Amino acid sequence: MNVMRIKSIPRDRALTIYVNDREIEAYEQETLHAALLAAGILVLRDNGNGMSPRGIFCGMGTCYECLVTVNGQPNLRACQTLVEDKMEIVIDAG
Amino acid sequence: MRDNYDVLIVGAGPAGLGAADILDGHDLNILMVDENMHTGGQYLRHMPGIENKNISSIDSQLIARVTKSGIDRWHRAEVVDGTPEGWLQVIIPPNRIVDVHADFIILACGTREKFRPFPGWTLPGVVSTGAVQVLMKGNGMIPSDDIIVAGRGPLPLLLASEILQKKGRVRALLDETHALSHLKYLRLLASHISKLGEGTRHLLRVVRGKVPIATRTRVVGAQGQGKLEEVVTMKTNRHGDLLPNSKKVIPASFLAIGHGFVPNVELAVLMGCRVDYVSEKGGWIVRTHDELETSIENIFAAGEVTGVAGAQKSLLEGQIVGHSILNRLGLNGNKRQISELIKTRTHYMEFGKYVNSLTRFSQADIETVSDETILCRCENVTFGHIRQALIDGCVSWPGLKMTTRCGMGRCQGRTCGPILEELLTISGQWHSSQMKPYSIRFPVKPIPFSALCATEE
Repeated sequence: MNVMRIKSIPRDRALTIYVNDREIEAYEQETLHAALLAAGILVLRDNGNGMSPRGIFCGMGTCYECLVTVNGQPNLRACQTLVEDKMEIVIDAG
Repeated sequence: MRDNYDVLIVGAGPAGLGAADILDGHDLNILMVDENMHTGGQYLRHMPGIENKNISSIDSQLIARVTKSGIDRWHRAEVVDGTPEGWLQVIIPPNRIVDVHADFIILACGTREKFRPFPGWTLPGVVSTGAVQVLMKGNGMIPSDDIIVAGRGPLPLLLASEILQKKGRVRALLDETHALSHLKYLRLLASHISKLGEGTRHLLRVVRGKVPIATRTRVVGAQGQGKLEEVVTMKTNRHGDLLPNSKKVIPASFLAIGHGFVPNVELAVLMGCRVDYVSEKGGWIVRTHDELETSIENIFAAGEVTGVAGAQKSLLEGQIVGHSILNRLGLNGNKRQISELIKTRTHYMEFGKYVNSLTRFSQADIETVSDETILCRCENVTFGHIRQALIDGCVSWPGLKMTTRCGMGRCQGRTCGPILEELLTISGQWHSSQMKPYSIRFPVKPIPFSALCATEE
């Protein structure tokens, strides 16, 4: 899958976030869910028994499907979180 | 941080902005609380500081006026509790709950999408139409070059058109309604020439973009190993029954789906405002009097919470509430202007009726959802679980919640609730006289325990 950061749109400062220790490039002002998607990370957690993978759904803070751990704080909605430089994200999709 | 305001506006979308714009400049202490990062809500979502064509210059001037005014704005802030006396509890980053009081409260909480579920709709890669708009408008991103847009109402067409406008590609546009279903409303649409023109423009762009369009076509499944790989569709007749032998499997990495809108009435219900179930207005709406005051004195409602009809109607209602409150305070609110605004608002509400009728489900639309389909995503409750509970004699929301856990997850019934209510209504289990919205309790949005334990100072 090819996720497109639309080229004609200027970006803020580039920064680095870490997802399960993997280094990922993102841009200031981006929401975390968008940055993860751009890095090809679609599965954000599992909703029971490892049989029900979940990712972004509503994208605007209503459905609570995109929960990830950010800098040690669990259950944050990726779609309501802005990326910050050196942010550490843990995705436990098992 | 002050904890007492003259006016507190919940929601910084078109309705909240309209109210703020009228109220500003009268020496009032005003606070706007909004859960998003930036002012504008979903409709006016934009990338701040970056010139973009998502919003008109009138709208960006409105946002600029409000953001440069003396109005306090709390963003990434969610109201978690409220009382009829005007006290709200708001959670602000990082996880701090604050109490704030206002003499007047304006509930401009907007709307959210509704979805009729299908097997596989929980797979990563299946998203709401709004989610794709958020990625495009707020992040300058198109999530895939291989995207199917499906559902009902104006949003799927609009989204397909927006993706093409941004030079993206759309694999297919699937509309559940029949092209003829729009004809019923031609006379109404004729009085909304600008809307008709707008719709035609989007349709032409999609046609010129050579996007395959199918009507009366419904997504009945999403399949893939761990993420979306294939979308299964079927044709329906005009009642919504699935046509045998019409099954098609389309490979796709992304599916954007939406079936219309429901008002966000949760906070209003919690505060004790009366609500009514009006399906031509999108479901549960906040009951308001002429000047948009709710059943509770000094608490007003504006925008989609009083009936889904789009951004222009929301902006107008915000302005009406602004004038109403100025009047109440003896501050030169413009009575004549209110009646003008109310007249224009009626015009937009007619358009809302059209949109909401396109997105209303028929009996067959709901009955044809298979038993194994998940209804409540949070708690993995299926249609089969609900149907069995109905057979077992559970006919109320609280009963269904207790026996199935439907609506008890983190989204608090926001996703499954509207469909469950349609299912109850259609199955004849729920009569309008005994209809009640599901119970809303503190906290309206989930909060971490750490926020509850924290003490101030």
